[in-house]
Amino acid sequence: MKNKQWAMFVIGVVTILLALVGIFTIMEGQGLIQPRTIGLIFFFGTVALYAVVGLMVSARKVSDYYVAGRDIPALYNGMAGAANWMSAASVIGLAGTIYLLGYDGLAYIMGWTGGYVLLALLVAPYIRKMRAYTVPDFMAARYGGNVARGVSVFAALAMNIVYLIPQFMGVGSIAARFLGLPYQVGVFVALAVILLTTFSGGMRGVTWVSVAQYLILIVAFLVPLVIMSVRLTGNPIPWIAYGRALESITNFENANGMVNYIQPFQKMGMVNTLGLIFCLMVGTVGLPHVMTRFYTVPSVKESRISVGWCLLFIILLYISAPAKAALVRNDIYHNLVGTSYDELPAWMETWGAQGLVKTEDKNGDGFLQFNELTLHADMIVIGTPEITRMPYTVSSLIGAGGMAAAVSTSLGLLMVLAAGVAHDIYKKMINPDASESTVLFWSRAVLVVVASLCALAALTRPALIVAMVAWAFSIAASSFFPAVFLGIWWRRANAPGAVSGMIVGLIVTISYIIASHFYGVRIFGILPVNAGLFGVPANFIVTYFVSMATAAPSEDIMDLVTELRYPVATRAIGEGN
Amino acid sequence: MTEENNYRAVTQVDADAHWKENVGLVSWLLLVWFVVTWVVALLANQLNSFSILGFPMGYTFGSLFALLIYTVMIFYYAHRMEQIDAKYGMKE
Repeated sequence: MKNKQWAMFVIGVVTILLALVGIFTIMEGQGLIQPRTIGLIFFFGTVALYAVVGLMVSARKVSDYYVAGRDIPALYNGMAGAANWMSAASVIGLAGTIYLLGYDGLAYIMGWTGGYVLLALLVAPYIRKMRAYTVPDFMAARYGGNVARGVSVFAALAMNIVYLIPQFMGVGSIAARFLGLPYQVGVFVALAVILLTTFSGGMRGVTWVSVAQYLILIVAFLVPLVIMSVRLTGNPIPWIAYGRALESITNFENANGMVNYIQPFQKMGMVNTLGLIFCLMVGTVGLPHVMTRFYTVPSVKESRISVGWCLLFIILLYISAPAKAALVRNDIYHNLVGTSYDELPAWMETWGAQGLVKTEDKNGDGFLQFNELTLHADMIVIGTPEITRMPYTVSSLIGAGGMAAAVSTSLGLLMVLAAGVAHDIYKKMINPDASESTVLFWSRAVLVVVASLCALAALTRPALIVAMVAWAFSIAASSFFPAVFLGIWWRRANAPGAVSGMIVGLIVTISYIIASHFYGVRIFGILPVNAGLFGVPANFIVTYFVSMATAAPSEDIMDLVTELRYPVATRAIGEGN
Repeated sequence: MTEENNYRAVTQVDADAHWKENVGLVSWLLLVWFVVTWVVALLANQLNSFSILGFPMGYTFGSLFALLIYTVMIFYYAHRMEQIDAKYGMKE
């Protein structure tokens, strides 16, 4: 019954979406509808959908608000997790990053997927067994007490804010583009959309909304890719077709004496490419909104398989991004490079006006060369419909997809933040007798304040979207990963060790990001996105030595850690918290 | 957090054996993960000299195969763990 409801919902959303794309494409072709109107319909239509779905399944109890009473089937939990996971950086920025960086850009793909292996094997089932609502709950139960809880709430706040700001930037620029507003106004539209969607339900609402958002973002990514694949290669299956594109790219580069697109370590170097894979993988395991997803399943068994579903839905996008990157690159090599400057296509001027495309006739021969063209990473996804002459309906669909990704990630992050402050700090540390409605009130208040602060920060565009998201991963990797990993796998890890490790990891990583991004400091040439390469080892070392230098955890806690090993309760254990 | 516990009578021997099999399985899979990610990345240049349907192998491992292998590994782990749980009387 439960499963059937979900299946109907999925089929319904996809059918309606594809039907709308078809209808609008025909109407647009006949000149029955203004392109601008289509953009508005997709923008407000999807926002209305999220609000309505959220309201229909809104939370009734505190446990509903956070973890949906743990009754979400693994497959749909995985789909929702995939939506929370893939942010504006993945949907809008990723294909372009690969287009620009070639092989080195694949670090994002491997890092953002390989981390799920660590999550599945080393963390998710044990976290589910612990029966905690939030990561700070886990910390408090494992490391006994409010100090661990407080420090981890602080760490969660830090990484969530760094992660949220680029989401507001993403929705802000999409809103600006489709509503024809200045970027700054777009950011406030983003704030309104995100708050509306978050308020309309708790985790249960978020799960339904996230499933809808996954469907919208994946359709928005795949429809243009398939059209492009048919037009450029004659093959409707892009994942097979782009092999020939890679071949043709390599031949073109060899003939023109260029660096090969497929050759590793040409753009970021070996250390930074491999380092990025490491930081993103470990960060994946440390991100609290990802871990929270695996509390929402009914059993340890389901938590194991849920990670698999989640990754399956994620890789559908991640194996498609390199295909899109290769098809566009090949098309630009063969159809754009060598064009006379007088005959450049119209889209280059339109996007040039927004600063996303730059050309400069460096050798003064009047013809465009590859190294004379600078495309912004986001162009590859947002601009594809125009580059390959697709209808404006497809552009609108991509806008809706990018927004779905940014909004669903923000929802996941804001839920964790609200839970962190209301549940972990207010209810557990300040006012244990608080009623459910008081806790809900506090969580909503925190949500509004934090979201507004992030929107304000987004106004100044502190860094590129993909870079800021990667910072959040480095912060997660160097604060939570060691404490969670050792908490499960090393019984001897104790509270002083974990707490000092988290603090040192956070300080090292955040200092390196600030020093390297804003002041240009480099140690061993490590890029700011890889700050975790310093923070993670620092955390592990401090946790190990401080734990060994102080008293072992109590018998109860050691027993609890042993008990985590088994999927069923085998003896009386202390409650989760 | 007040969920009903159904305590299961499991002998220490079974519990230890269950854990040992779990750790063994996890270690093998982590080895695969390590090779697929890091070893293949370091050899990407050499692997690129082989290609199938135009796909250079070094590049394609990073863009496609590694991702598929990760996913299969996770489902395999879930499946094997279910068998191991059942074998030692820890089926949920």
